[in-house]
Amino acid sequence: MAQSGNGMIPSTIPDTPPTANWPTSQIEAWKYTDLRHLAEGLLWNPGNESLQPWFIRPHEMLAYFSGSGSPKKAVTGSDAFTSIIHSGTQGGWQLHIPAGLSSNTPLRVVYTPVSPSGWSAFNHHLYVEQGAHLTLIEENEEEEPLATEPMFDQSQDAKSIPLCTMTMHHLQVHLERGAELKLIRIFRCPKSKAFVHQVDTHQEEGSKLEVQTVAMGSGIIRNNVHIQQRGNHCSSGLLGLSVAFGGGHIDQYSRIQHHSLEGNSHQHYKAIAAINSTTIFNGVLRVEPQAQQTNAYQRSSNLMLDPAAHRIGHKSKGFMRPGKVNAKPELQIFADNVKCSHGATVGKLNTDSIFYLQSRGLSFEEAQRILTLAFAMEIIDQLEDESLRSEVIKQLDLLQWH
Amino acid sequence: MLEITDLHASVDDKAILKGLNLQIRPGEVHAIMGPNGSGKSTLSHVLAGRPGYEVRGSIQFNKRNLLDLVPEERAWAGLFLAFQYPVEIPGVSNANFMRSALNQVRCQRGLPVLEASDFLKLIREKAALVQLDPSFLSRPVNMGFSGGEKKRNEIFQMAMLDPKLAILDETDSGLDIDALRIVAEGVTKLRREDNSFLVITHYQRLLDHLKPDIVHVLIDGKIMRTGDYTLALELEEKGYDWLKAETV
Repeated sequence: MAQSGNGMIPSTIPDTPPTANWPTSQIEAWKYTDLRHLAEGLLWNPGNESLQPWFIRPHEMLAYFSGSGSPKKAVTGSDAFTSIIHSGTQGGWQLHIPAGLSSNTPLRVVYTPVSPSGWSAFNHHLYVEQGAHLTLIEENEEEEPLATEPMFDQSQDAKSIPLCTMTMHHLQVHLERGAELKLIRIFRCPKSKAFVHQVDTHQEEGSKLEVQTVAMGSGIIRNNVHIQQRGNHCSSGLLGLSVAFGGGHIDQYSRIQHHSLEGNSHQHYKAIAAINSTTIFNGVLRVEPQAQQTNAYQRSSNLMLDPAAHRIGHKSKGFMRPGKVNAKPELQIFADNVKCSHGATVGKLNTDSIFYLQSRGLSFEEAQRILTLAFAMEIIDQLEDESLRSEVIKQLDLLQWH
Repeated sequence: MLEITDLHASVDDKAILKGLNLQIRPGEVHAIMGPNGSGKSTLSHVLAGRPGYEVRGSIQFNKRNLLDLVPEERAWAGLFLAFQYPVEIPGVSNANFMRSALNQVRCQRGLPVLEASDFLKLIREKAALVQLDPSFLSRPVNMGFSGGEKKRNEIFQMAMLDPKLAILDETDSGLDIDALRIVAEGVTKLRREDNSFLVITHYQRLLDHLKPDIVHVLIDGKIMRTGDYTLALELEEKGYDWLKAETV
């Protein structure tokens, strides 16, 4: 399943375009999103050190932050994605939280668009020392507000539209004993762009990790969450919401490996695939032989929106297909005393519910909008940050349905 | 107010309504009784515009052709259906649902959107009418409600939307005696000279409270007998078989 990287660790930005070893759909983890195919025709963008493609909102922990000017830390790992970061990284940020430190205010990193064309890669490090607590918000900023995009259009899906940019981020996280990290992310991606993010987390004993991701757009988003529970009594919680519309393609991938005693992990991903759009949940949960008394579950709930349910269906011309959902939960259990479960559901909006709302005077479109939002609310309600919750609701509220 | 002429309805080529005629004038309460499978619920669904039925015939509602209207347009025109099986909607609170629905309906009827404080006053007043606990308003629509609470919630919604014609589809089924009395009293308080009710029921008990002006018996997709309240008493005593026998 893994593919080895080329072993190169750049100390400065390479002068010549790297030869990227793109993951293809032949690798199980990349089955539904073939990066090599997507990157075809895209040139590597060498970047510019003076233009930092992210900014950080003022925060009490800013002092522990260092930018791309500092020596780059090595990219570790050897999977297909890290080989790209090896070959093409333009730098990244580093954050080192000292032992015992904690803050109630979330630290916010905003990734800004890098260039009008080409692919670029960044490599970030986050180290949280013993007992320290941090909430980090990662989001990407896009020039065009997503809300003006139609919920679906008659064009082909995102994978068949040539990309103009692909931005890749790799975040390596180390949680020391008893450290706690909440990582909340909002990723947006407009048409003809791809946004790929991977977080690799190493958890020591008693550490706690929450990763919450909202991904929405009509472009391509791939979000990888990799977790290694190396110490006993670790806990990891993953929460995800995907909203793909206007031909969008959103792939949420997770891989959690339990190596130690009494770890627990829980995952709940929800996805909404609007007309012509695709969502994917591809999750691997691996319990190693020594990881006894692991308690883990993995849940994927998916909503497909159907053109037949749209009144405009008969008027519009051109390509129109229902939302498409791929859900692939996978358990690999090698320990004999564990409690693990998984489940996946795929469904459409309930026509009885739509009719019920209509019979009270809500329009067909409004009924659909309310029910779709209600489906998403279960995840939005659990987002740790109040301002993010209202931001997400506002964006979903503005999505046009026709 | 409502004039149904030669109404036919079928599902998957199975005929259910077979030439039904019915006329309701403002201020009247009509009851429709009939054995299981006679088409009572189908009639209520066809009136409210539920998809899935093949419909022929004519339904005039306040001089508009109802069959030309989509369900929400029927609601705007003043039609309301209290569901036999109200739908549970997770993630949407009763109060928000009612605010959206009421404002939509008011907007379509040319009335201004209600101020938050006026809405709150109205929602409390109407909840009290059917003795619906105010805590239900903040809960998701019908989620975890008991059978009786769901039915009361239907009548509450009806009171909020103030329809011209309300269809009560077996609102009494699954209600205990007290809940039945509360629902019936709620409906009675909503009666006016300019609105009408069509009450679909199996039992005489609800009709004891509501005192319908006209009672119809629906058998095999047609109205077989129409009479006054005493017809309900007769049915309670004799059952439907004597009427069925007459039709053969």
